[in-house]
Amino acid sequence: MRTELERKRLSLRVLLETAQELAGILQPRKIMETFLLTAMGPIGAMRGVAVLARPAGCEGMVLSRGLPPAEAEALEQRLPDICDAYFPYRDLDGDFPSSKIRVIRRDQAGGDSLLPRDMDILLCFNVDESHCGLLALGPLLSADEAGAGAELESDASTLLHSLLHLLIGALRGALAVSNIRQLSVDLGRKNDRLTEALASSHAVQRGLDRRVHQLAAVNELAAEMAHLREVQGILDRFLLTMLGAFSVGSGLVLLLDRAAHGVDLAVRGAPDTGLSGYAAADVLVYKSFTASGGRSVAPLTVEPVGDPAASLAGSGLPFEAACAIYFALDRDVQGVLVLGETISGEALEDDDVQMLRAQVGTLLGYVQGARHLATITALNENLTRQNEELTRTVTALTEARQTIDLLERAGERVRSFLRTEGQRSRRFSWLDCGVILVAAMLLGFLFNLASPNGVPLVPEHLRRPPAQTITAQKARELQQSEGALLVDARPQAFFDQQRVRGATNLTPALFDMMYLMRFAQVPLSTPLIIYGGNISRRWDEDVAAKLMAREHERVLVLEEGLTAWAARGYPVEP
Amino acid sequence: MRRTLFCALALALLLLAGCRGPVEDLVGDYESERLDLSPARLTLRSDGGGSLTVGAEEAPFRWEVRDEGQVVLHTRQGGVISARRGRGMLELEMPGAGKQVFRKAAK
Repeated sequence: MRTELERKRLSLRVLLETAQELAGILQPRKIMETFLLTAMGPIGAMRGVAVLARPAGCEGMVLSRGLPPAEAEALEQRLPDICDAYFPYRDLDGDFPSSKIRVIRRDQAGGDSLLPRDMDILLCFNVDESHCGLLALGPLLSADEAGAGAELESDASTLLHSLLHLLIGALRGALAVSNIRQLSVDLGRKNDRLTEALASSHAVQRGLDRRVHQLAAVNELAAEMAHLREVQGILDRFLLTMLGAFSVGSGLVLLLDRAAHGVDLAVRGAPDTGLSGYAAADVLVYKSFTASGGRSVAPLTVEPVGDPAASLAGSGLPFEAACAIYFALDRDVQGVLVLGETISGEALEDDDVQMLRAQVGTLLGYVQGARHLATITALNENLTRQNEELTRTVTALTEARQTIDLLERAGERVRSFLRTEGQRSRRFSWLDCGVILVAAMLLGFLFNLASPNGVPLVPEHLRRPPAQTITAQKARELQQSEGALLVDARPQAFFDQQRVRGATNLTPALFDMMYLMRFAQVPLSTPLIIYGGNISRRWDEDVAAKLMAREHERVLVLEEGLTAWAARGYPVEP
Repeated sequence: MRRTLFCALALALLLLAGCRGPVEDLVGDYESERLDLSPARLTLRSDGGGSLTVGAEEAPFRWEVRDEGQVVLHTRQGGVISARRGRGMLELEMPGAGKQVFRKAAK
């Protein structure tokens, strides 16, 4: 009885010490080594082998104690065979409780040749759902007394099972800690990946927000530009929207028309440095074309400009170019969009450049539409003018037609009248003609006799005596000796052309008034020499007669008139 | 047609009535400013007749007003003397003898 108690106390002591040894060890290998060392003594085994494996992967560890190094190493190499022999995979798939301990008889084990021959105790156990263990001990010290193949005593067997339970518990704890560590590491890695994914999602979100902002701006631009009709207005609106959509502080868009030799320019956030001039604009567009990599100008071309800061340097840009897009509407109309640095200082991404390129393509459509509209408007105006001219022509033709109709009717009336008069003239006789002629002559004579300005039937100069004449030489002598007055009787036009110097113009038509004004005070004894006349009119004789009628004593007519006077070289004027 | 003719005649009468004012202003006696000769008097009557009087002799004529205020004197022998009207004066263009100014005499 006392011995029984001592054995139990010893067993409990062994269990306590083993539990204390295994407590705090977290590495399975260390646990197995400690257990093997602790269990061999109380059981009385001289050699021991412990295996911990994952049958599913045929991997694990083999620990031995008391074996020669070569045999221990060979045993480690046979781990897959041990797994196949002692840990059938199907048996681990829920057929046994995880803590099941099986005592295997060597003659029943399929891998009898795998373990050393003198192993008397062979135990298999399950640590958890994926790990199995094998413990082989022997030869026992008690076997020497009872002979080979002796079985373990009941107390020792109980102690061994208890020790195995401690081992299983320690291994489970170690494996759990290992799993927890692995889970913690995996969790940390996943956390890092989640953090990266979150940062990436934030970047994507910012990009999406920016894209949504850009698309909203582009949508508004499309709505506004649909109402614009002029190229300059479209360029201004487009540039303003692009600057806002891509958060750029300064930019310009330029359109060069080589056929019309014109430039349309919109600049924002920077002064115009003369790019509105044709020569400067041509240089900028040419540099953009060469830097875009294009070899020919195809219609509706849109190409990004490579390294715009360097390629467009010296083009007169009022800011440093960070992004530029070359575009061509056709061979004659080309242009470039140049944007400066963004407000945040970040460079535009490739997606931004591609979207900018797409928007420039949209701009080309609007510009082409505006140019077509201008062409159509000009054609319509021209057509309207032609219609107006045509309307005026039709109106004039209508009026002319009416006039022609009127003239035709008038002509018909005239022809009718002439026809009637012709018929009447046939009834006209010579007697009628003579009566009309005599009546007309009588009426004419009567009117002439009654009129104070009537023409005398017989010219007066034929009825009156001829005036006394004088030669030019004697007239000159009379002028110089007695102060005779020379009177020019010709009309004023002849008098103004040439006259005797100092002569007075006195024509028959103005005789009464001119005589009163100029000759009323002339003494009647003063000699008056009259000249002026031709074959048909004798103005000199008429004036001489009137002067004699006013009782002038010496009225003389110059023979051959002014011609004789001038021929002798006497003074004339002017 | 008759209505149009009537309107044209009425318009012509109105124009003639409008033109009558300046003619009435010209009617009256004018005296010349001849310092070395005997004074001359020019008379324009409202019936279109007129006369030039120097001493005891008188030369009748007819007169009319043409465009731009030009006054034309027609002698009995068919001669024409043009005159330019001024403020209270009449300037005659005597053929071959220059201009002769007549100032309107006070009534």
